[in-house]
Amino acid sequence: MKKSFVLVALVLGLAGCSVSAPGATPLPSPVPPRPVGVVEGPAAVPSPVAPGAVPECDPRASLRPDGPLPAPGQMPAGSSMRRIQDRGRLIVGVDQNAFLFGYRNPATGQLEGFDVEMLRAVAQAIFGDPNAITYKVITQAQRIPVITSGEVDIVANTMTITCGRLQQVHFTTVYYEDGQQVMVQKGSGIKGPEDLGGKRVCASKGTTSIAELAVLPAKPVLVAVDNWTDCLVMLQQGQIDAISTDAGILAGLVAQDPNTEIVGKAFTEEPHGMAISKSNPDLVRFVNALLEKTKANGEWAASYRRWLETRMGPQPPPPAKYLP
Amino acid sequence: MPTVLERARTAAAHSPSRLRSLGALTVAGLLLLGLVGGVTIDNRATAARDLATRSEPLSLDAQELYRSLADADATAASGFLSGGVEPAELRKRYDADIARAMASLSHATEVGGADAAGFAEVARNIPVYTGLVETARTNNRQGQPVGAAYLREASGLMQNSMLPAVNRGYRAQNARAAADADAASAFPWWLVLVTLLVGAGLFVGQRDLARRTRRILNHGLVAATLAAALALGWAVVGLGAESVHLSTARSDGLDQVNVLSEIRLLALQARADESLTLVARGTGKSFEERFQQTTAKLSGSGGLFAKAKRTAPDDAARGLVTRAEESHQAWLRAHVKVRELDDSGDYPGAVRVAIGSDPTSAAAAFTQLDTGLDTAIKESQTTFARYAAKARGAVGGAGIGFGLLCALGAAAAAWGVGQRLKEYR
Repeated sequence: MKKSFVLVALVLGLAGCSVSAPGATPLPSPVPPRPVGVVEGPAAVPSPVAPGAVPECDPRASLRPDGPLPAPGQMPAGSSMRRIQDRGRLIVGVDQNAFLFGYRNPATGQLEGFDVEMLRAVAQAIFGDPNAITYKVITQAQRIPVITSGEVDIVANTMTITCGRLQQVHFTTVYYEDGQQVMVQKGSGIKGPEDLGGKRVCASKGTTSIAELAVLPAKPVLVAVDNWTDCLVMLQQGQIDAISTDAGILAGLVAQDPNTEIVGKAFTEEPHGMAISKSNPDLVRFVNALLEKTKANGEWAASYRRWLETRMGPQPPPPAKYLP
Repeated sequence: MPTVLERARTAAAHSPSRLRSLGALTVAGLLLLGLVGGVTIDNRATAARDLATRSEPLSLDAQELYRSLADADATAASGFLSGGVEPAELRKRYDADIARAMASLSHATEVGGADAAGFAEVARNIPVYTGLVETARTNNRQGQPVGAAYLREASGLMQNSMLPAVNRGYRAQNARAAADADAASAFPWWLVLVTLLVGAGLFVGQRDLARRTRRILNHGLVAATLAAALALGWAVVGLGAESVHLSTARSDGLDQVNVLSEIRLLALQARADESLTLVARGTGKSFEERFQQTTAKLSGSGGLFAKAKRTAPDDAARGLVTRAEESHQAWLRAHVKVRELDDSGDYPGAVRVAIGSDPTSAAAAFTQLDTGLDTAIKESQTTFARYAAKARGAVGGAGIGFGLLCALGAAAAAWGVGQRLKEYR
C-alpha cells in the first residue's frame, strides 16, 4: 500500500516535470513598427459631406486671364503678384513624399517633380528667376488650411479640383488629368477596386482618394497616413494589402519597388489644379495665363516628358476651361 | 489571586532570585542590543553598498542608454538632412551610439534594474529600429524618397516607444538610488531606544547590586558595560562618518550628476528638434516651439545651468558647468542663424549651419556642449564614488563587531552575576 503510494507520487511528480519544464517563458509577440500618425478602420473614414451641401459645378472651369502676362519683375501696382514681387520670394506649399510630383531628391536634398516645376515656372514669370521660391512642405491634409491662413501663395500638391474644395479656395485651370487606381504587391490576387472587400487599403489623409475608397461598394478597411510613402512602407512591411490613389502618384511608388504593380482601370477622374486663396483672384488669372502660355510653347510638354511620360504614356496638355 | 507583579515582587524580595533575574535581564538586554545594533548597522552598510554598486551605476546605465539612443536618432536625422550618402563622421557617431546603447543595456539587464520590463521592451526594439534605419539608408542611396518614410517610422518608434521606456527605467532607478541613500543614512531609532533601555538597566542593576552586596564594583558587569560602551562608540563613530560621507556623496556627487544629466537629455531633445524642424521643411513649427521651451528650461536665472552652478561643490566643478553653458550659448547663436536662413528661404544655407563642420556651426557647438557635459558628469560621478566608498568603509564590519562586543558583554555579565550567586550557596 505504502509502496504504491510512493510510486504514484513519483509518477505524478515526473509527469508534472515533463509538462512544466519546456517553454516555461512565453515568447514576447513582436509589435510591428508603424508610421507616425497612422489611423485605421472607422476612424480613417472622412466625415461624409451632407447631400446638397455642395452646389453642382464644373470643377475644370477657372477664372479667365485678363490680358497678356506682364513682363517678369514688372508686376502691376496693387496686384497680388506685385506684393509677392516686393517680398522677393514666392511662398509655395508642396509635397516632399510624392515621387515624380513633389519629392525630396535624397541624393541632393533638393525638391523636385512635376508640381515643383509648375511652381518654378510661376516664380520665373514673376521674378525672372525660377529659384526665388520658399518651399513649405505640407501633407495632403494641410493643403487647404495653409491657403486659407495665407501662409503660402500657391499650393501645387497633386490636388484634385472638386466642387467642395472650390467652396474654400480658388483653383487654376487643369494642369494634369489623372484617375484613381489600385496598387498591390505582385501576385496578390487583387485585380482592381472590386476585389478590395475586407482588404486593408491605404491612402493619405484629407485626399479625394480616401473619400472615394470610403464609398467603394466593395467596402475595404481604410488605413489613413500622413504621406504617400508611408503607404509604401506599410505595403512593404505587409501591414496593408493595397494602396489606392491617382495613377501618377502610384506610378511614383511603383518606381521605388519593382515587386509592386498597378491593377484595374481608373475608377474616378482627378483633374489636378493649383490652389490659391479666394482673396487673390488676380493671381489665379495670372497663373492661368501662364499655364496657357506654357501649354502652347512646349514648356508644359517638356516637363511632362521629363517626369511622367515614360510611366503614364503620352498625354496632350489639358485644355483650359474658363467660367463664363 | 496574586498578580504577576505581586509574584515578581515576592520573588525579588529574596536576594538570590533577585540576582538571578537581574543577571538574566542584563544578558537578554545586551543580546538584544547586539542584535538590534548589528542588524541596524548591517542594513545601513548594505544600503550604502547597494547605492554605490547597484542602484547608482544602474541609474547611470539608464542615463547612458537614453543618451546613446537619443543621439543615434538625432544623428540619423542629421544624416538624412545632409543629402546623398551621409558623411562618414555621422555614420561613425551613429554606430558608436548603438554600440554604447547595447553595452549599457546588457549591463543593466545583467544587474537587473528597477524596471526590467521597460529595459526588455527597449532590447526588443533596438534591432527593429536599426533595421528601419538601414532600410532608410538603402533607399536613400538609391535616390528613393521612401527612405525618408522609413526614417520617420524609425524615429517614431524611438521617440514614442523606446525613449519613454528608457525614461521610465531611469526615473525608477533614480528613485531606487534615492531610497537606498535614505536607507543608508536613516536615523537608527530602534538602536537608540534599545541602548537607552539597556543602559538604564545596567545602571540600575549595578547600583542595586552595589547596595545589596556592599561591593562597589562587579567585575563582570563592569566588563559588560565597557563592552557595550565600546560597541556604542564604534557605532556612533561609524554611523556618523557614514552619514557625513553619504551626505557629501549626495550633495557633491549624486545631485550634480542628476542635474547635469537632465541638462544633457534636454539638450539632446533640443538638438533633435532643431534637425526635425529642418526635415519638416517649413511645417516644423511644433518642433521649433519645443526647442524654445527646452531652451527656457535650461537658460536664465531659474534655469538648470544656473541650478547646476549653484549646487556645484567647488570652483572646478562650477568651471565645467560654466564652460558647458558657454557652448550652449554658442549653439543658441548658431540656432538663431539657422532659423534666420531657413525663414528667409535659404534652406541649403540653414542646413549647412545646422549640421556642417564649420566651428561656428550648430553641430560643432552642440558637440562641444555634449562633450563638456560628459566631462562634468564623469567628474561628479567620481566625486560620488569616492565618498560612497568612504561611507562603506566607515561601517564595514561594524555590524558584526557590534554584535560580537555585545555578546562578549553578555557573557561577562553572566559570569559576574554568577560569581555573586555562588556566595549564596
